[in-house]
Formats: sequence, C-alpha cells, structure tokens
Amino acid sequence: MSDERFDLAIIGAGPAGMAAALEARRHRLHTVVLDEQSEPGGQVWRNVEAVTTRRPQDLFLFGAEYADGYPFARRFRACGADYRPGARVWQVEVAPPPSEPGPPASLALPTAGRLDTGPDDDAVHVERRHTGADRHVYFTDARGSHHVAARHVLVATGAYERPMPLPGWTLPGVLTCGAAQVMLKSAAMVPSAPVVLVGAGPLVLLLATQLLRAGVKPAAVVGTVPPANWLRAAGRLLPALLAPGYLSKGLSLIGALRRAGVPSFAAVTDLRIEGSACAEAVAFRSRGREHRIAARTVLLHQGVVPNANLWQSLGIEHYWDPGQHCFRPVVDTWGNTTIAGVLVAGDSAGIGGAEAALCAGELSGLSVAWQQRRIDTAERDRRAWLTRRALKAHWSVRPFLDRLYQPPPALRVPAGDDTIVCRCEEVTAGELRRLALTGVAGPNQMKAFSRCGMGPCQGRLCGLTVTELIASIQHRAPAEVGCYRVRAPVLPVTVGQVAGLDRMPGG
Amino acid sequence: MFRSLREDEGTDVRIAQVTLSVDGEACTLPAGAPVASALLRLGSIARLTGLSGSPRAPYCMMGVCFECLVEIDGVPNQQACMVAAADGMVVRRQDGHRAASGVSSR
Repeated sequence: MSDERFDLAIIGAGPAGMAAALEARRHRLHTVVLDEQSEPGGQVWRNVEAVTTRRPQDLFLFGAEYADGYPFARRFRACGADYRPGARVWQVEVAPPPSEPGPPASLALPTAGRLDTGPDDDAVHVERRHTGADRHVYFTDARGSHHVAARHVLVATGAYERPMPLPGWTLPGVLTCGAAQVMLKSAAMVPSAPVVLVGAGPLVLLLATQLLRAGVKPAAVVGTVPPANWLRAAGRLLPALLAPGYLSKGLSLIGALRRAGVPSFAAVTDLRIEGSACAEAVAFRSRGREHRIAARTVLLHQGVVPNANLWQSLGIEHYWDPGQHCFRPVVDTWGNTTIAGVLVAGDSAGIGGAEAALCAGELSGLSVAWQQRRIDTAERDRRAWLTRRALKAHWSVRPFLDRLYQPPPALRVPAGDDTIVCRCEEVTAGELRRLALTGVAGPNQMKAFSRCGMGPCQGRLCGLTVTELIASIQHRAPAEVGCYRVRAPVLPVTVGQVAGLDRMPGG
Repeated sequence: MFRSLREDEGTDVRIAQVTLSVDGEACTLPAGAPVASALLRLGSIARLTGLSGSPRAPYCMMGVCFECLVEIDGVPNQQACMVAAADGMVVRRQDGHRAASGVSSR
C-alpha cells in the first residue's frame, strides 16, 4: 500500500470531492478519492445508490435534489478515479523541504466587505503552480492503515451541524436533525412519536416535511430565529432572489408544514430539554408564555459549520467569518490554501451548500490540472467561466440565509452555568466562564485548565462555543481569541494502526 | 427512539436483513445500516460517561460527536455510527471508567 503515488488525493466523496474527481479525470490526472462512507454522495446524497436501487419506493421522501445524486454518483464511479470507500483519513502530512517556497504572498485575508460573498470572479487569481514535493495522506479502512502520496491534496470534508448547547442536550433521545436524516436514508428508520424539532435553518423545514411524508407528524417545530434576524436579513433579500430556487423551495416547505397542521412556535427563548434518564419534554418561552411539549425524540439544528479539523491540522491560514460565525480557510478562487499543494473545496471551506460545492470542486480540479500542466491557462479559464458564474449565483443566497438563520447568542454561548459545553469531558459553561474571567488567554489554555476539548471528538462539538464564550466574557473579537490548535491524528487511532503502516514514506 | 419505516408492512424482501445483538438483545436491521441505528431502535444507550456516569446515546450519526462509542465483537471504543451492521455482530455498551482502559463491562 505504501508506495502508491497519485497526482491528486481527494478527501471526501460528497458533491465537492466527486466534482473535483470528475474534472481531474477529464484531464487524466491519476486520482484517488478517500471517503469514510460506504457509498459516494456525502451527507446530502447519503446512501443514494442503495436507496435508488433497493428502496426506490422511498425516493419520494427525499425529493428531486436527492434523486439527482444517483446519476452523479454513477458518473463519479465511472470516471476512472481510484475510489476508496470506508477510508478514514487521520493525517495529511506536508513536510516541505527547506528549498520549497512559502505561501504565496498575494494570498491575503479577504477584506471585510467580501466575507459573506463567497468566491468572487473579480478577485485576483493568485494561483501558482505547485510542483514541489509530494503530500502524504494516512488513513484507516477495514483492512488496516495505509498511506498514499500525491502531488496535490484536496480537502473536501464537508460540514457538520453546529453544536447547540442547551440544558439537556446530552440526554439520550436528543439527536441532530441531520442524524434523523441519516436514519431515514441509511437505516430506513423514523423517530418514535412524539418528535419535536428545535432550532432554525433549511434542514429543519426539509426534515419536518420528509418526516411528514414518512408518516410521522412532528408534535411541534420550535423555531429559534430572533425577530431581529428578519430585519437584518431583509436587506439581503434581493440578491437572494437571484439564487436559483432556494427561496421558493423554502416557502413550499413552510406551506407543506402549515397545511399538515404541524404546530409551530417562533422566536422562542429559555429553551431546555427536560428528562432524567432520557428526553421527556422540550420547554421554552414563546410570546411571553411558558410551554412544555412532551417528546420522546428531540431533533436539534442550528445550521452547519465547516468540518475543519483536517485542514486546521495542517496549519492553513484561516479567518473568522462574522457572517457564518465560524473559522474558514483562506483560499483563492480555486480553493488553493496558504499551504502549497493543498486545496479546500465545498462546505469545509465555508458553508455554501451542495450546489456551490459542486462548482467549487470542479474549479479545484481545474486548478490542479493546470498546476500539473495538463491544460494551459486559456483552457483553464475558458472551462472555469461558466462554473464561476454558477458558483456566484449559488452564493448570492447566503448573506440572506446567514443573517436570517444566525443562531441567537444564547444558543451559541449558553446563558446558564450548568449547561454542558464539552460533551466528552462534561465541562459546563459555568466552569468555562469562571476560567475566562480569570483571564485565560484562549481556547488552548482553556483546554489545559479544564480538559474542555480534550475528549475523543477533539473539540469538534465545543470549539466554536469556547471561542465565542471567551470572546464574550473578555470583550474580544473571536478572530483574536482564535481556536483550538488541531493536531494530527484528527481521529483516534490505535498504536497498532500506526504500527500497521507497512512502511513510512522515505523509510 | 426510532422504528422501522415499514413496521406495518413487514420485511422488504429486496433488502437483505442482518441480525446483531446489543447487550444480549437481538435486533434486525437492513444490511448496511449503521450499528448505531440498532441502539436507537432498541432505545438503548451507548455508554455511560467516564466522569459522571451519565447515559449517552447516538447524537450526530455521522462520526463527529463520538457519543456512540461501543464495544463491537470485543473491540472497544468503536463509533457505532461508522460501522455497518453485520450478521451475528455482538455489540456491548461501554461503562464509564473501565471502558477508558479498554476493558468492557460484563
């Protein structure tokens, strides 16, 4: 295994990874795609091959966008890339020899005005050809641990749901809305009634209608969008209308829920989940009144954030996006990062959605083909032109969505002291606040003092909360507070798995 | 916490079914479904936390949260949401501190 060498290694077989592979193969790049799922598709098209071929009667649950994944996955499988399902990448190694030049000087931080606009075709194309040393990717699959070398690495690890720390969120029976979708797509299972959906964002509406179609009427949809968000979003409505289909789809979902008579609550506060051994009820305030709704399954969602651990472990330069409330890698319009030979595309570079990820993946594939001299500059730019237009259109809805669905402060930094922030090490908001008040310098010191972020999830579910908590207590900007220093391996690996690599590169 | 989409219609013959056991309790699932879906179907917890002994069950179902760590066929600390169910698999809950040292509860 250890001697395999590729032109391009893609991590993730969601929309961005698949699109990049298709483009790379068009230019005959020797490409490997490593993905942790058993089928291509990522989370948005999860299990789409199995559903389409073995449970076609369930396709109607998921809608046309889901069904579109099947032909795309077929094309991906036929494109000639070496696709490795069930491969979990725990390290990407970039060890430049001293002679290798540093990051391109022209790759500067985006300006404030451009933060929520996504890729911009007016931006300077700062792409350079990386022709230096190989990058090394280490991963584990059912047969053991392996290593591949590649001239370029594309991180297309997608997104996961933003943690929603509120009282009772660790109780059994509390899951994310995405988890319920996985259950529907991968296990053909639905939550037992009564089901309550809590939060905000397109996925809440989508899942609620999918559950309705599956014969499960939610007991309630408990919305958390503060009224002020509507005002802030209104100013961005016009560009959002130019994005293909997003708003009309949202309205039709809302209409379906209304017609089905699903009780809904808006702008709720003082959210908590009650129960002793498992979730029993969702309690909250709405329009000045207390509510308590019995629930056996509680499904949370407040947007998605980049799955950033892998690119963060590489020391790629990043910035805090105040519109999306998360850290994003600094990339040029092709997805090239500040580490030569490493690109990031799709939602792992900032939340743009599946359609935008398809475009971004394609552009990254083009850039790698150009850097490896498979195409000249003119051909690259000619091929990129339409894709860039489409990418821009898909991003034009984001300022509206980001403002409308921005989680309220109380659901990003818990107000109550007893609420658990770090689920792994059971560290509460109260303890973190106490430490923040003593002047903890940042997330890394917080980790050392409290064990917050030291558990098996490696800070994936507390990192953003810790950054924003320190920022709010110490009246600092999240960008200045920073984030956990993420180190490889980004997944727990056993000594045996590391020792099982038959040969280290150069060894 | 979860039930089959086709509870009333019986088993769909087109989809192969597998049966595994969770703490001795049998659970039948469509082949390829993640082990964690068996926990959710049985309403079983995955583990007790090492510090306070609080019960935890699958939360994200996509390999991010590590709440569903269980012992599968004698190997501890497996993410139940990332392992496909297979016939005859033996799944055990992990109990607090002992799980941390790799010794499962019996």
